[in-house]
Amino acid sequence: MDNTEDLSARFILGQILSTEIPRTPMIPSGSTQAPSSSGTRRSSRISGRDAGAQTPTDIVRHSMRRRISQSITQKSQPAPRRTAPFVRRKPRSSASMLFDDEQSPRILLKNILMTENVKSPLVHEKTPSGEPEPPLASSSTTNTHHSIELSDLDLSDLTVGNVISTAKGLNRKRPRRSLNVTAFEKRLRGADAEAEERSNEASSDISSLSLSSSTSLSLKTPFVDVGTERKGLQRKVSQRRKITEEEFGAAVDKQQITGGTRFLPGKQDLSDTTHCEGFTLGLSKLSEPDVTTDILHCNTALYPQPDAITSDLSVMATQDKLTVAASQIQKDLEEREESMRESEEELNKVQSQAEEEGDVPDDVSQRENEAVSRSEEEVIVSGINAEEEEGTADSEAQENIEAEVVVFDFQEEVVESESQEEVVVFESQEEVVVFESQEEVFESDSQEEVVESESQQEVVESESQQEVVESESQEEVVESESQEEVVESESQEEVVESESQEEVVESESQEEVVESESQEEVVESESQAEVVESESQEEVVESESQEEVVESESQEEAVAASDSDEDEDASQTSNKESSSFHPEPDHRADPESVADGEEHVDKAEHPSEDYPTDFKPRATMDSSSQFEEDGITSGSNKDDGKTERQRSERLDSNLELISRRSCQSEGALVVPIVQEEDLDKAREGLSEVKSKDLGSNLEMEGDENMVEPSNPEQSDASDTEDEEYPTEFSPEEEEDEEDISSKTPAFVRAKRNFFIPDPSDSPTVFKDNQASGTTQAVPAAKPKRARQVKKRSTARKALPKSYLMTVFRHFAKTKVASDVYPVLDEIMDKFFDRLADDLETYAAHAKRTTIDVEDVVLLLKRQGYVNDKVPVEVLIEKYLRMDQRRLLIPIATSGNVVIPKIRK
Amino acid sequence: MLNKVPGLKKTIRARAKGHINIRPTSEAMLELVTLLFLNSLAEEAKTRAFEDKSATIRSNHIRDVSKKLLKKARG
Repeated sequence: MDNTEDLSARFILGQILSTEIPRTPMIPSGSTQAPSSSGTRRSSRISGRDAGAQTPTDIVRHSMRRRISQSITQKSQPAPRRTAPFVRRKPRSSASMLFDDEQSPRILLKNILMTENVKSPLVHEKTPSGEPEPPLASSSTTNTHHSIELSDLDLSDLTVGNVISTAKGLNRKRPRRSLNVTAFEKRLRGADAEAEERSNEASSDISSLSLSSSTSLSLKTPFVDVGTERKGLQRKVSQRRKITEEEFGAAVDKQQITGGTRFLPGKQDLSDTTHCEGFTLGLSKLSEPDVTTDILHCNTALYPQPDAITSDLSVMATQDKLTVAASQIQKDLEEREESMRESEEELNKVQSQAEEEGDVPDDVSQRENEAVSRSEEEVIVSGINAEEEEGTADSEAQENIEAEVVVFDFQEEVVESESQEEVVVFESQEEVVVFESQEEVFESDSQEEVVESESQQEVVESESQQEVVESESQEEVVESESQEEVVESESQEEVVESESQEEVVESESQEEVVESESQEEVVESESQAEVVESESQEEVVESESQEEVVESESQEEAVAASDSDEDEDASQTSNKESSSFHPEPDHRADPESVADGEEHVDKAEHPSEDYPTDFKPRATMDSSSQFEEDGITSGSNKDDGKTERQRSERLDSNLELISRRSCQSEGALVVPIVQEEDLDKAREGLSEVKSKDLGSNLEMEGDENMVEPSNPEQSDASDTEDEEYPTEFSPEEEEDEEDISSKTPAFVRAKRNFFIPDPSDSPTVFKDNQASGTTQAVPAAKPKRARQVKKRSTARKALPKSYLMTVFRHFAKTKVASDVYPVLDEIMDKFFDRLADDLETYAAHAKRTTIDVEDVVLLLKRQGYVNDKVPVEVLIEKYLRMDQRRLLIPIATSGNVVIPKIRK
Repeated sequence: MLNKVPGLKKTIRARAKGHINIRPTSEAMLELVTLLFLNSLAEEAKTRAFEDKSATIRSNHIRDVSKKLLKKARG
């Protein structure tokens, strides 16, 4: 330090050069020139490379540089071949620097090698010392040409000489191959011959060396051709040997010319490979090439499907737990619902069976069950129905009636609900055909009808009617009443089945009507009139007036109620009844009406509604209702043993009839006509089924017989309007009680023709009633229609099951459980909603009211089905049928003439 | 695919809020859209079923898939 001041630049440089390792990039491929530190280098060769590589590398560089300069000048000193690998390894960091040389070290070395004749690896007898210089010198000098096997230019075998020269003990790495000395020598000689030019001395040395070393020497590369001298420059990695520290040191010492060139490639290779590997790894991680392409293409549309799908999958996978839980919950709910439904169905079935057997209690229970089941299913109606139905369940007769009556109030709701499943369908007033299962219908009718029929009282009446039926006189009356409702259906004979009464249209089965009271049909629209009637009926029930009287009254009421157009039959019967029993009903109507009113008020809302409308015809309606009720009561009195179902049915049917009459208007006639027809058919069908019930209803049949005559009478009057009914009916009614039942069929039949306006026959009173009834019927019909329409729309599915399932199976290509249909349906529902919404928006955006092809194409694009890769046409070709394709894509005909279809 | 989609036009018109017409060509396109949707739905459901190690597609598979697919089909 003290000398620093005095030191001249030169001195300093010299010092630096000698002592410190200059950090110069010019150092050739770090041919280790730091023999002094070679030992350390070697020991810490690896570490030295990375960490303290600077020092040793610098040393090496410095030494190498000097060597080069020396060699260039001297050109005599052999250029010891440094072990290229070692050299390569050492100054890896400097490898890059080496390239910065003016000349690539490789080229430099090559030149050197070319010029240098003698290049023989020194045989180090001593371990390379840490001194750079002496070992270098020694190495250089002592290097023999033993490494003849190595080309002079082959620096990779730099340490060959060292290996050979170094002490064997130090030679850590021994060639595994045993060497054939003779062969080796021969080769050497051969090589020597080639290399004679270069090194005669070397040859001798080589030979000597080879000889000397043949035994002791373990050559790693025994077969090294001289011709491979050139190859030495070829960087044969295969020939590369691992170099020990000693070797390295020796090589460094020997080497005068930096063979740094050798170092680079190896290192480079390694680095390159590592880099490449890393790079490739990174590339392989790219999962969404489409994204990049999309970005490149500035395609901002949604990702193409495969990506989405994959992403979806991943998302789905993640969502699995949640969805599974949700699905499970849904499953549970569904299961519950299904179970409920099943139970309901079972109940219905049971009920139907019970009906056949005519077990009243069963019916009641069944009804209850039905009601309960229904209520569960249907929110709105269910709540109401449940109450009502439950109520009905509690009280067999009256209670049921009441409940039903209450239910009537919610006709609309009930209608919807009822329409939903099972027998309830029957109730769907529109669906007269419900008679599918009379039995079921019967029960359901009683309830459903109640619901549907707005007139709660009808229920009462129906029930009462049923009761009436039981009693001969009552039966007739009831039947007539029920027939009135049933009048729509002229299947009087089926009266026994009465269940069909609901369809009532068939008045013939008045007897049956009473039973069936397919109140279900209840003409439904009868709300108002029915209400009144029901009220009266209720009263009747309560009053339990004489059967006959009741019947008559009910009949009259029925007649009166028949103002409504819907139920010609019913109206006929009612009218007839009313007219015929005019005196009687009047007598009874009052108390009954009062009673009805009372009952009615309690029960349903409809009554309140019906009151104002039914006001006028109420008188007659009441009578009719009373009739029904009376019939019911009488029936109940008489036929306790009879199936309560029948009673209920009758009541229901009566009520329905009445309701129909009252509510039906001319406009509504259309509907009831249809219904009647249906009812007729259904009735006929039911009649067969009900034949079984007939057995149980034999008692009633007797009464029904009475109805039959009345029915024919009614049929006679069928041509006439309701007004005719009273005239026709009156004589019938005037007949025996038993005749009443027989009358009803005729009446019912007559009622059918009610639609034909024929005011001539109707008495003035009735006319008035009719007028009012018609007017009332009209509004009643409208809501009925609206209800019907609504029912259709809500229940309508977008796609039929068969189509949906076939298409789905086709696309799925795996097995598909059939329970997927409901889920699929829901999904398609939502899909269509969205589809329509979107398309509409697009069209509106284009100020059009027509959905065009381009709208749909735009939608497809936005959804991602169509993009740059997948044009629309491809999809069209793929999925659509020929006729559709022809629509969308102009095709070339066989005459090679393109005829584009003219798009409208 | 070989069959028409019965009542497709009606459903769309029914669900459209306002009055809308549909050309026959666009009707065909509508069928295409529904078919594509069903196809992707079936595919996704199939994959989902495979995840559950089931060769049969069941309702829960579809339900899991539906939400995502419906969102995608929103356009």
